[in-house]
Amino acid sequence: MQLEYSDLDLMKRIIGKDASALELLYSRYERVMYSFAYRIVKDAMAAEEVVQELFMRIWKSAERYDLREGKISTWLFAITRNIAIDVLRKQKSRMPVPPANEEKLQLVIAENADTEEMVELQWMGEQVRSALDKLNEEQQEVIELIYYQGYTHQDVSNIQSIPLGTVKSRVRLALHHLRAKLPNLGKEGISG
Amino acid sequence: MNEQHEEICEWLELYALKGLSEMENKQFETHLVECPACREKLIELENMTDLLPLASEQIDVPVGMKERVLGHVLNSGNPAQDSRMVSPPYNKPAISRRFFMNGLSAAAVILLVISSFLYVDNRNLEQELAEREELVDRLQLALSDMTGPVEEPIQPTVIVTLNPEAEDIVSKGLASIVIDQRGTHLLVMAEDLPELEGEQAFQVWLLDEGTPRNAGTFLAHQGTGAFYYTIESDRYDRVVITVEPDAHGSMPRGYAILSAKI
Repeated sequence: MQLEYSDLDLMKRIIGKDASALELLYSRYERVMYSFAYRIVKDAMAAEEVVQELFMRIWKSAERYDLREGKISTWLFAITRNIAIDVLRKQKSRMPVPPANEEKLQLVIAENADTEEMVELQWMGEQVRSALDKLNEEQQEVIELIYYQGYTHQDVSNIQSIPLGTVKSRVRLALHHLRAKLPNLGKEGISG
Repeated sequence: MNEQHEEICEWLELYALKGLSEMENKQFETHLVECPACREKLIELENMTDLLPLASEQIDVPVGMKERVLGHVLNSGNPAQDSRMVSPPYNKPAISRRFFMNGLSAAAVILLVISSFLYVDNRNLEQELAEREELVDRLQLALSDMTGPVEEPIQPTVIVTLNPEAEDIVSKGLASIVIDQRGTHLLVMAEDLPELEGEQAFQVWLLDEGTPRNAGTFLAHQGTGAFYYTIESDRYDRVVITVEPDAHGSMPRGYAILSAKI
């Protein structure tokens, strides 16, 4: 019988420098984190480097994760975003990057979704994508520029030549619409 | 509630989406400590923004990525503090800054230690390289001595005929003494040598007033054999070839077949 370790179990073992636990966590999140990194950096090699840096930090500093608070998947996503945005910021000419070409994205069947958590994450992902698609274009743009490309509201104001107040109101409306479209997901957050 | 407070409250959604500058973030985190309404709303909003990574289309990872990433991570050496971890929670900025500075200090110490090791290691390598180069020079010199062309023509100073030690021995041979830049050499050539049995060997002895000194052993090919030996002394007065039961004796055990006065 194969034991199913929770993320928390794995993190505790990783803190104890258990390499097999790191491998298990990696296998569990490889595709999800890579896809998120790719969503931001839009380059396969750079996305792999982001994932590598993510797991380097987990391996070297797992003890910095407070086991009492927060979801591990949320923590991993936050680190991945920080690393990926850093990669974007290091690019010399910092211009807004268009969303990844859909043709380049190879959709895959959930073959790696061998855990309940992964199935849940993928299902939630579909819900969130659907909700984002229903936002108007302006709201989608501010989320793209701020969350996925790491710009501040001041940057967005400059890039789009709109007042700061307009950026703020678009963000507020976007998040409130998302909450309305994803009421249950928003309350429970990501499991882990 | 003053005007400035209300203004900062309006940053709530921008903070949740991570759209504030670094300085604005700090201001808002300070504000959160004293604004329970924002703290409450922030929890709800972050539950929402935490879902945004999931909106990424799932794509195939590159072939071999797992091996590359884990190989790199697990072979990366000793754990070290990394100051670039996820941003600190709003209620622990002071602690996080201290941790950050400690991390920097630790990183500096680690760098210093590594640099010291690298410096010492580099010095050791340089010393080892110098020793190796000196050894190579010496070996090349020795090799050139061994293989280099002989500048002067070799002329034997002594050539003597090796005579049979018994009437029934048909063997014959010559012993020559050659002196060159590298020393004094004894050259022995013999033919019609008796056939050896088992571990038997021919052995050459140099005698100093009757005291034998082992010069070495040789075997024959179709009754003919040759031998070369560098002599470190000129006190020898006779050369003798014997048949020995094996090639390992330091004193004669067999019988003499050829000899000559030198």
